[in-house]
Amino acid sequence: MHPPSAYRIFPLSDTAISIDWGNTIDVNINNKVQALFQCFQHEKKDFIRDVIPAYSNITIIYNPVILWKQGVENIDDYVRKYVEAILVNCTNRPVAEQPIIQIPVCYHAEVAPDLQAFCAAKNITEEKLIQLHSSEIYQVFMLGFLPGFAYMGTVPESLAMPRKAQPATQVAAGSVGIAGRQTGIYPFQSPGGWHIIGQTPEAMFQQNRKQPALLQPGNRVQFVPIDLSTYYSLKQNKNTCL
Amino acid sequence: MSVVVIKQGIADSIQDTGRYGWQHLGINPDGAMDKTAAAVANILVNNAMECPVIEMSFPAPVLLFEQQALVALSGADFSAWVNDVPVPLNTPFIIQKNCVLQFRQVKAGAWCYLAVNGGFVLEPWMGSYSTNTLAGSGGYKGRYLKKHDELLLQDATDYSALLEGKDVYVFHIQADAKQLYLNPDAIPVIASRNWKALSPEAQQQFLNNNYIVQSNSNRMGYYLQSEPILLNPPFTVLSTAVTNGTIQLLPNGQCIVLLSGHQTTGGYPIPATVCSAAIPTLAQVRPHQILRFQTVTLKYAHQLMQQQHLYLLQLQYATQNKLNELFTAYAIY
Repeated sequence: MHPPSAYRIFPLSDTAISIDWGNTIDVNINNKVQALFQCFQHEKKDFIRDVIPAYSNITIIYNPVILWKQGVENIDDYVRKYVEAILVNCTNRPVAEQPIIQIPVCYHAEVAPDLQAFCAAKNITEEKLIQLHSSEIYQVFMLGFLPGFAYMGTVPESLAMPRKAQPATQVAAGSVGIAGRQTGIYPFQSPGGWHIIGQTPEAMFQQNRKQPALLQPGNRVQFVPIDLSTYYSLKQNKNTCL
Repeated sequence: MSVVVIKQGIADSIQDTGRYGWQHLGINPDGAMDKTAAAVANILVNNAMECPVIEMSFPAPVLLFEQQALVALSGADFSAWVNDVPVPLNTPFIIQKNCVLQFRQVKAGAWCYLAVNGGFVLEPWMGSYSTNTLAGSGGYKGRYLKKHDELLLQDATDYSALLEGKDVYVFHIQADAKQLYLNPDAIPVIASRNWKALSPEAQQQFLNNNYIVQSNSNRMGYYLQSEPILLNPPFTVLSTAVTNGTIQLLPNGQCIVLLSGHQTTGGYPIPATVCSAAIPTLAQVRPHQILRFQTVTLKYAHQLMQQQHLYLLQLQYATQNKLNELFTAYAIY
């Protein structure tokens, strides 16, 4: 990975610094972000509290108190230099291969309230939508909004749809949605503006799992279509083998 | 033995300094809205500054202590009483077994913190005791406190020698918490992600505005009402990391300040971020009150943080010393 020239480093707050490649959804830029995320995670510095990847930037949350205790006087300068050094050294580290995680999805109007309207608006059949949405391998660009909510892309152009002007007040947990060229799954019941075209029986977030979030930044994801009866039987069984 | 909620307040939860290390999974950090007040309350009862405390807003809960306990309150002044005795803020006191702590009216501030010596018997979730209501985890059952909830206490010390049969014993120890707060008329902020994308007029407007805190404000953030700040030309931003203190500029020209309960990412322009040292001041501003912002350098922001941290350390050393002397004199261990 080579840090391209078109990035900037700036303080997001007095405990956060960001490296930013602009305001864009681009797999190549996000790959740089994921590589950097792995480098920072690998380093595990005690003054770093969190590393938060996003589409085209990465933010490092730090704790100045730890640095004072280590005798660092110029916190601003120290953190910026550390981040710049990682940016340069990360070039030489091999990036861990990302697994493909398969997630069962039921594309049926009974569990997907926006499916029919979505197909009508895009002038495609439900079969075509299922084929288009499930044939792509998506990248988890980032998580945010809710614990375990993964922003994935890129959805084929023929399925792109701006988010709803008026968000739904209640979207069910497990709902699979589309917004623009992104796709995502609601881990909890919540208000939401994405078009719901399917449901997964999988628990996207479980507080007592060792790894509570099913998806991690940088993972690759494939949706596997299932029918309604399979959906209900998987949903019933989902807790028995934990 | 426990502290029992005999009447519930509107938004009371267990919080500590926050849950860090998991924001890349969308797990918000939470933690006390006013972390310095939580630290002061802990210090005054001889706890580590980071211990979990009860965060209360008004109307606050009514709490029955089934056992004697060493308690301190800090942050907002809700006019606390133990049975028919008023108890002061920023001062440790011992509450007698089977006495009731209640809060009668708001005198100042928005969030009050209750620390108990030794803390509560709770399980941490992902490294923190803070309540995360989005995930329904952490703190007490992952939710706000309700009537009949019982918080088990770790400490079972007998303080009868100090109480001498009375309902409450108040120590002659007073933390000068005023030092930890700034002037809400000049909340220091540093320029952030999108500051330079604002026109000079919009930047000026941002700094000249009076901001009125709106009543729909909550732990996630405070909604501010002001003269609108307009982007010319308007632009949108992708979702990206936000922090405690992030000021988001909404499409209607109004601002939100994100606070402890914030989501990990947000998709609105960020002109500036409130300095960490000023977040307690801002968090304690009540709805309908006014605040203003002024920009400072990052170096200055770090100096303010360091001063606050040193003050808390000094308070901790002094308090430990006084409490230990007294306990030794009364043979309380």
